[in-house]
Amino acid sequence: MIIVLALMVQLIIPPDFIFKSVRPDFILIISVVIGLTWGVKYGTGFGFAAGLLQDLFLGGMFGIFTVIKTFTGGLSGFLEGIIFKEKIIYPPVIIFAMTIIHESLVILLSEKLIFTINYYSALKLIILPEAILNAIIGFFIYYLYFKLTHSGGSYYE
Amino acid sequence: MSRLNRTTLVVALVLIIIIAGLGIINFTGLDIPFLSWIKNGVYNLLTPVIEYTTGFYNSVQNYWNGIMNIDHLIAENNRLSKEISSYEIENQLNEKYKNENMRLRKLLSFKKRLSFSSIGSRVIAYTSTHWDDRIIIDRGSKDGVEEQMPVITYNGALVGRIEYVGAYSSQVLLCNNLEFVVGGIVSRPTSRAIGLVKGQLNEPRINTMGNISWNKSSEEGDIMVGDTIVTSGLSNNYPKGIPIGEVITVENDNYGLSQKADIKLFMNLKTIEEVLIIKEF
Repeated sequence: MIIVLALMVQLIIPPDFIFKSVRPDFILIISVVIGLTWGVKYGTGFGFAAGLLQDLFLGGMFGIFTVIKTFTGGLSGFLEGIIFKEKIIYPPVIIFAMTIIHESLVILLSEKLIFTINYYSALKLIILPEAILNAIIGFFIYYLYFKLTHSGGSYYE
Repeated sequence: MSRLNRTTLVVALVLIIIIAGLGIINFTGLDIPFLSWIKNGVYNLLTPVIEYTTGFYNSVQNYWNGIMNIDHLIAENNRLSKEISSYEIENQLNEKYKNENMRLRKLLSFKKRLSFSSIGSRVIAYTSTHWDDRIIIDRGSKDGVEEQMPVITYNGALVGRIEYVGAYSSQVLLCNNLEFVVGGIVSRPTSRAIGLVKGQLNEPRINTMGNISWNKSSEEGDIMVGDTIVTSGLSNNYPKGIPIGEVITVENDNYGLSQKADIKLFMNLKTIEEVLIIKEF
């Protein structure tokens, strides 16, 4: 349900709705948040399902998002026990890093992109602004999700 | 390693196999009917939901804008009512000129210009990545839409081409996509400069037109800032004369062996809400 909701939000919002032509990746943000909250298994599973749905729906670069979202979701899950969940400053930093990894892998794995674009330009003009935007949005999403899932008290109680 | 128990390893192995399979399908371009069936199913299942959600989102947005601009709307309504009455008179005159034009064409034995057979459509969604510019529209195979059909705005500017067709919706590959290529020609009567118009990554509203003749003094190389570029019609995919954009810079390319121009597209993704699909031309 969360995956479908994330995909729908991603598709409905016009490209420049939030900030010029930089688009946030809600599916990535949520898969990282799930990974950071629930660990490797859930992060990988959610990333896999979300990526697969994105691939099935868009069809442009079939298979790529399944691979990359599984990887980024799983990688975020590995950090679950390492970072303190109450320190809400860490998730935006991780989302920032995951966005850079995610977009770099998209370029690396896509035959049509790897030979046509200049990575440095793409990093400066697209990837870094998107990473900043994702980190800001991710901060609020993580905060809300954390409050919802841990409303009964401290995580360590 | 204590976190990796047997179940986790099995799940990880299954995922790796699936991912490897998808990777092989992607790189080899294999067409597996079962996967296509699943893809079509997911696509056709989700697009109506997205369409209704977009409609709801637009209604809320319009309602909110209406509340915020109520004084402006009343003033505009009064102005438009007056304008409509003047247009009605103008329309009658236009009808008269149209009939006269047809009569004169007939007299002069002009070849009747074929008009496009087109179908209107609404934009219901935008693609989710930076790397694959597409829009999703609410017409599909049930409306007679087919892959490769050209798509234009209501003003006639080129938007792109149909890339994927579902039952009730389709995906349009936008003309600023890296994959998009179309033959362009300068519309100025004294010029015959032609080239290939392609999308580029960093500037979503600017395409490049390359492979233009190096000889600026010839008709084939006569291109300048401010020229309008239209489709050349040299391929069978696009009709001739669809406006693409305006030339904003011209420079030498390939060490002076050809020229290259930057084209500011007439299509603006920001304002596209409705499009026309050209079914026959």
